[in-house]
Amino acid sequence: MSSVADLKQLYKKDKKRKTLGLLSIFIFIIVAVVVSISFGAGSPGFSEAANVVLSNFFLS
Amino acid sequence: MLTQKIILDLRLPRIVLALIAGAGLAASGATMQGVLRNPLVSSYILGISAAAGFGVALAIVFGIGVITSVTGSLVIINAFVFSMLAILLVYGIARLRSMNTETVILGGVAVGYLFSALLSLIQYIAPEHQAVRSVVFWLMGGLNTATWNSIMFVLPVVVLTFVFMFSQSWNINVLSMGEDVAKSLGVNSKRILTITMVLEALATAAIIAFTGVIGFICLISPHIARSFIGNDHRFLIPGSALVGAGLLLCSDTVARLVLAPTELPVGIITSLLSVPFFIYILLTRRKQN
Repeated sequence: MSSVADLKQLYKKDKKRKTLGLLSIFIFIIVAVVVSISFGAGSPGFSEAANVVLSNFFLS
Repeated sequence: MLTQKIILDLRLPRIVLALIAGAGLAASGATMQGVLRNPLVSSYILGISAAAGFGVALAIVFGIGVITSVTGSLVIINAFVFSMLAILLVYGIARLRSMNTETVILGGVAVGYLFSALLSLIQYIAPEHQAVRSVVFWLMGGLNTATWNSIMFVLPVVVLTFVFMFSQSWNINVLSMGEDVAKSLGVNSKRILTITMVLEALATAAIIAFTGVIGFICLISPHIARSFIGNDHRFLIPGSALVGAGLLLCSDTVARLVLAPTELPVGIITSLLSVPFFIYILLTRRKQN
């Protein structure tokens, strides 16, 4: 490795794949949040949870 | 009204803390693995978990705290302060021998063993079994104490340390080529090591003060992210943070639901879920970058 330019060249490739990787994990997290908020102590399911979250954080 | 309370005061803080804690631990793990050029390194390599455990045991068993005026937060403050004490000790040891990766790892192992021994001593001489049980339960980790107040403390620390870690990602890329290459390209490896060590310790200490010791997230998340993102730390650090957040959230959901209404400590689930996955990744890992 003789210069920073060589190193940058080495890391330049596959940026699209890396970005897609990050995006797919992000989508997985959204699904995990939806599942997690829909189950647990008490009876509220997904629709009640979504209503509470929307009314308190987005529609106030 | 009850639905609102369950969602806003029970489930949501827990989910948010799981995401923040998972992201912080995993980003710290990825940074330390990159800087120390060792895939077996995790955020706890610097003896932080053992030191925090010792601090918590002091608080629970003997009621001894660093700041005794805040009685309700004795455990949290002790965990945080003793974690920072561990990092100071490791830093002091490493400074005595030219601050290189080997001395940091070995110093961390030594400090970890020291606090583990002290923790065992407290557990052995503890007058009450119930107190020992509480300490053991804390050491297994859990998100059941998550509140919006705890999030207000952990979130800024994790965000700030993440930003600083991410700002070092190119230097870590250079450093991963070896210290000689880094030196020839003008990167000061000792400076990077010191900065990342402090950031990692700060993030981990802030997280485990509220969650207890949650194992494996900081070790396995960078490996999972690396398997489809590669070794470029500009992508690997955020990728590991996302994987860690998802992994801890899934583990916590399983811990809440698998034996409902009883909850399992999340540390047990992270280990149970992570170990087979970790072995699978090790066996099928492609050579990347």
